[in-house]
Amino acid sequence: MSNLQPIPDQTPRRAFGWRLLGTVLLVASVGLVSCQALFGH
Amino acid sequence: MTIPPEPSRNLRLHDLPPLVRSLIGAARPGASPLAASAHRSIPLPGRLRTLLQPRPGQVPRRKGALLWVLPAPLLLGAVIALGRGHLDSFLADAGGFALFMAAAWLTKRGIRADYAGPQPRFARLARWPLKTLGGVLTAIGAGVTAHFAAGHGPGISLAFAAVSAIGFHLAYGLEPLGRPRSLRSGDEPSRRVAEALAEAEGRLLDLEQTAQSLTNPELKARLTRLGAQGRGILDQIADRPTDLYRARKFLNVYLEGVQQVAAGYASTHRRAESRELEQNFRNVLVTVEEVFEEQRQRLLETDVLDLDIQIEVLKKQLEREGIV
Repeated sequence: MSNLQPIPDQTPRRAFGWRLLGTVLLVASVGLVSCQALFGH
Repeated sequence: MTIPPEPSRNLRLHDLPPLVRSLIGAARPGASPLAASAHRSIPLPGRLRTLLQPRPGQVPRRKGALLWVLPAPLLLGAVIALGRGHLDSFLADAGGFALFMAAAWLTKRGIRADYAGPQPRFARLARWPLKTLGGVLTAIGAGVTAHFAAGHGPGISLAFAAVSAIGFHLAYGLEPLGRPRSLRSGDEPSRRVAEALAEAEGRLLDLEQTAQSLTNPELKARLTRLGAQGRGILDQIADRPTDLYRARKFLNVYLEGVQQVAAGYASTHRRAESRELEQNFRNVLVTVEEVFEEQRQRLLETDVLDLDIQIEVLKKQLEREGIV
């Protein structure tokens, strides 16, 4: 009976986590460096 | 037909991942069907779903938008530097901004190409790795801006470039270096099969391109379906390369024929609209569809027959050796 139960699927959540981390890193690098360039003037 | 009512509930915490996912970009086209189905199955309130989740096959409009928005301060910085008469700062800001814009444009093109129909499996078509180029330009842009516009040292600038490259890879993905080879093409027969499949796939790609250019929705759907059927047959041949000799007529005669007829119809139809021509083309498509289906069935039946023979031989061998 137990093998009829659906296997929990972690893939979409994990993929979302990686993509979110990528977005945070992009914001932290590209966004930060652009703001630093602006306020450096 | 009744339309099921939309779920009317408030946004909850577990709705957040699909929401943000739609903002960053929907499921990647290369993701497993299981992952894609799981992505679709997460419910969103009706209006939000229509607003945020792209329909299957549709390019998500917001994917890659971040790359256009994040460098915006650089443009402002360049304008301010120009106003103050600082040429160095202006060049640094404008250069960084131009690099980021080029990266965003390449990434957008790369994302579009990812969603543009089925990817070739056998034909190794030369396609620029646009997203990878976008990622490289993003990293260069971050490094250049950090060094020349923000005034960081070389080490920190390299770190900025590395972090942005990793972030780009995680958020948008890079194209794989070199295409995975689906068939071993070491010996002569395998190479022949691989070549035949690549050629046939090239024809199918042409066919699908022609289908996209048709305005008649019915003929477009028929031609698209033919393309899908053809791909199914190629997959069967790839699974069992010996089928190539059985499917030779399909590859050489029908596939080439339908490709030429479809291309001819598309070009003639653009210049002159004719009901008779349309009907003739429809008849040809119906016939070819039947032929494709027959071909698929024949390959499947041969598989079954071959398996029957193998089982029989194995049974005889086991009997002879006194095991059964």
